[in-house]
Amino acid sequence: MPTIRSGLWLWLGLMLVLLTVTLWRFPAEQPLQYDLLSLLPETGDAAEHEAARSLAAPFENTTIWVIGADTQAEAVAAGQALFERLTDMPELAPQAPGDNRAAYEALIERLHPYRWQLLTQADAEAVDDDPERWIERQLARQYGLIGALSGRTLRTDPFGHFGRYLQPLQAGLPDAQMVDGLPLVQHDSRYFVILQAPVTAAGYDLGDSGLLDFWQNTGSWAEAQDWTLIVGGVPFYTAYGVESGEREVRLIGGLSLLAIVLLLVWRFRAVRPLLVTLLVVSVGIASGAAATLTVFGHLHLLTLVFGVTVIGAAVDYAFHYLADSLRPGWQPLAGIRGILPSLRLALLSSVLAFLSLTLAPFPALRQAAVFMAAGLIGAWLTVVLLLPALVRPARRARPPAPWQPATPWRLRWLVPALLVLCLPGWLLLEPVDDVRLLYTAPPALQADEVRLAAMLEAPQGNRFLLLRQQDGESLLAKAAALKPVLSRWQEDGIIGGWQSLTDLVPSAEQQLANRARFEQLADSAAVAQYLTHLGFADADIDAVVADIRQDRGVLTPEQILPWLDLRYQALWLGCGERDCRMAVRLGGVTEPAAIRNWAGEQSGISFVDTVGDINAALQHYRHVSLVMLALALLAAGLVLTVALGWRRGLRVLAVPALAMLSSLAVIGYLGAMLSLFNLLALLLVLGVGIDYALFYHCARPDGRSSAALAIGMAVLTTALAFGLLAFSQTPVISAFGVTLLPGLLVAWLLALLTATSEGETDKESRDFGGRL
Amino acid sequence: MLLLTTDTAAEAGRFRQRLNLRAFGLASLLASVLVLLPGSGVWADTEAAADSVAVAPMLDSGQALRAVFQQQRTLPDLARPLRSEGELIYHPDQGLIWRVTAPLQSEMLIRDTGVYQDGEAVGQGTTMAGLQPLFAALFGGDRSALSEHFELEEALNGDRWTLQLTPKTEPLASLLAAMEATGTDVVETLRIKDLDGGETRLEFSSYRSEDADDPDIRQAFDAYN
Repeated sequence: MPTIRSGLWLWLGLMLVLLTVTLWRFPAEQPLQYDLLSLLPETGDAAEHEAARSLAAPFENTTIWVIGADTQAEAVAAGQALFERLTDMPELAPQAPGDNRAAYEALIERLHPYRWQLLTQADAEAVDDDPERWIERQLARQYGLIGALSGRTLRTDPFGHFGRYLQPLQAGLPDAQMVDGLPLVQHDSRYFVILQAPVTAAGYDLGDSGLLDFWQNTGSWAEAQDWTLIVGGVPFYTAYGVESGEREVRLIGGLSLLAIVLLLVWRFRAVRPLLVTLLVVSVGIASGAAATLTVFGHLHLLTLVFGVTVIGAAVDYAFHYLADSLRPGWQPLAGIRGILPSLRLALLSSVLAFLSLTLAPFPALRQAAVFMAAGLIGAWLTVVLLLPALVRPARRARPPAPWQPATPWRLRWLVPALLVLCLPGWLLLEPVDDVRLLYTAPPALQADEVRLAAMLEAPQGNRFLLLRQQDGESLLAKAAALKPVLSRWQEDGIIGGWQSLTDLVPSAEQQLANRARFEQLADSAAVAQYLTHLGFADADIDAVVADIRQDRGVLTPEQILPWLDLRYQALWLGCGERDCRMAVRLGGVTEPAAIRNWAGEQSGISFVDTVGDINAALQHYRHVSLVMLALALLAAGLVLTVALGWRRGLRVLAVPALAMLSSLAVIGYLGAMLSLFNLLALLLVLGVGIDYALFYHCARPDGRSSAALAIGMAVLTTALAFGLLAFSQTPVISAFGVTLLPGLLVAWLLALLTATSEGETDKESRDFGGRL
Repeated sequence: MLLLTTDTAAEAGRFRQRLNLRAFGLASLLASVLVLLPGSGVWADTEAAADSVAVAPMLDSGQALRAVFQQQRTLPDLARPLRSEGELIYHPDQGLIWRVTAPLQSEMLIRDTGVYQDGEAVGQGTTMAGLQPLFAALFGGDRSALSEHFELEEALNGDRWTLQLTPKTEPLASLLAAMEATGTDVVETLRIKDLDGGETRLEFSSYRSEDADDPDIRQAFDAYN
């Protein structure tokens, strides 16, 4: 044990190291991360991840604004006014009305010269099957209803095959009529104009979110004119997540600190203990943040939110020392020596528990674990090295009142009784493994999403087949070969639809074959006969035949892609060093397992199900965490029994163990969901439960009262802070609160009620002091 | 392929529902123009009465309708018009069959579960997709909805009425210049004017209503059931 002065210097030196390392490692860019998915484990291979990101990109940065009115004319006026509003918002780049249609017309114009090379697979097969029959059917169509409604396309596309080739592209357009260049849909007898506004680079990092304010203002603006505003898009969720996360950090952290301030001033009747505690807490948070930044290079917002809980553990140590200082005749250095064994054991077991979390290949867990462990070490070192220099014997405050239960509760009765009480709760537990737990969405936004989905198709990019081949040509051939399988799946209801480049970007081989089909038809005079029948003049017929025979070269994917809608472009993932890749997006997947099995049997095809993979990972880590909880308990039990002997060790261990079990039962009784994140919270119950039990059970006979005061104050402040977490709107954070609150209270009660008599404590604590 | 990359079966259901609306819209377009447009009286009526042109006076529930049509499609630069003829069968529940009998046979079925050309699902043919807004506007035969997509102009000459429909919304306006329906008790002609001077002229005759359970009618739709 160092002297007061050397402790002070040692502490200053350590702080200097901490500061240096932090400054050295502090990232140049924004160190705080908001993307919740980055906390999830990386599953699958790198190519699949890259593909998933690339496919999701067109959807991730676009906001959708829908404004509705009673009449069509009013809706159009509202749409125009809304467009003006969106244009004024620098973070948004609204698409000019009519953009989509204009782009589509331009695409048709560019592809048109190549139309003799562009056939749908169905047309190609029908031509091969029976060319004459195919021609006859086209003729019959010209006489039918389709002909009646196709007007001038007879001249530009006499066989109608180019129109059929373009069909999937048209399907990509918003399913709406255009009025004055604004897409308009009718829904529930109201008229809605749909605007899309990608978020600009400036607005993409929506750290402090003007978007939400703008949304709110625009909502009131619309309401004032009796218009309905509906919004959608990932940026709203991101912005809301960031805002509520920051708000919760401020609120929960702030209230927790306030509680500590009030308690300290009330109990110690002095300002110094308050400043000392704030210092310990600050060093704890700073150490946690510094360590996380040093190890990971960034700090996630969620880590910071969880990291706030380090306050709860850091004050344990400070309060233990401060409460001890109220004893009559207390001396700084002797005081720290007196409580050091239990402090040391508490730190050892807690840090061990937290660091065991880093074994899980799970970024969220690792970051939080490193933050907590480093925070605890920082707080602990401050208490042990610095506090003896800062804390003076109390003058005005009352010494802690002696407090001791008449008889300690007997574990042999308590354990079975508690287990019986908990059993129904455990049976009521409902596991939830859903990535949506990570997202916060205000009810208004969720309601809008439901209405939007009813009104529009909301394509996403999270389920797709990833195709890989050595070159682009064989990749396109592979995609074409996939089409019958997709059709069968759709017929069987395995998928609701798909989006593929198959028909839009034929391989060079297909294009040449298509042109050969038309050349053959021209050679056999079938083309001329067809056109003559329709009444084409000879010169026009010659022109068509010459057009068919003209070699225009082959369209490459690279040529076609820039002309396509972004959602199609995203499907082409390009060629790397080893292979070329493309994706086939699947919609309305009802049997992902069947698709996964099928893909497993193919070469060069894999099924990527981003959401499903993440949910499966959440489930997997929930199971892993259960095992880890048991391991952490075992590890803590080993440390405790080595230090305290098996009887007392188990008695101490019983406190966090029973607290954890009770906490689980409470979750079950409350009907709250059980997710991975509840189990993570249980690890904190373990750590703090060990603190409480050790501080009280292993206090010296004259230290019991101050230990009771210390853990009482600790549980009050911590429970207040964690109780507030339960009200978080992010389900994950709320799960933390719901788990910790009962866990902490039970740990506190058990710590006080199960401590054995003083005589035994005296002997044991001497033993344990000697052993450590 | 229509993209619907959402994740639940419920959404797949919505996707089908959308197609239903689309196809049903087409059926109702034709139904409105051919069948549901009542006599001149209604079109010439006051606004209040004209707003409810929704029900077919000829078709009681449980009845189907047959008619014969002659189609003549004239295109500039083409030597002669394309002439065809056939019959249509409209069944309130089963949809509309548009059957060309000469010079080449073909058949189209438009119903709430899809559009079929010669037994094959057409899906969203460019023409069909392009006209979808019009069909949707006509859904229910609501004249106020009709006026959102077209400038409407009515004329009455004795007992013969003429209704001129000029599209004012996209993509309709880029597909056709105008439509004109004439008739007395029932619609007798329909002209679809192309943008570049061509036009399709349809004449309807031999209307007769039949019991919806009539074996002939049922057989016509049976092939699709």
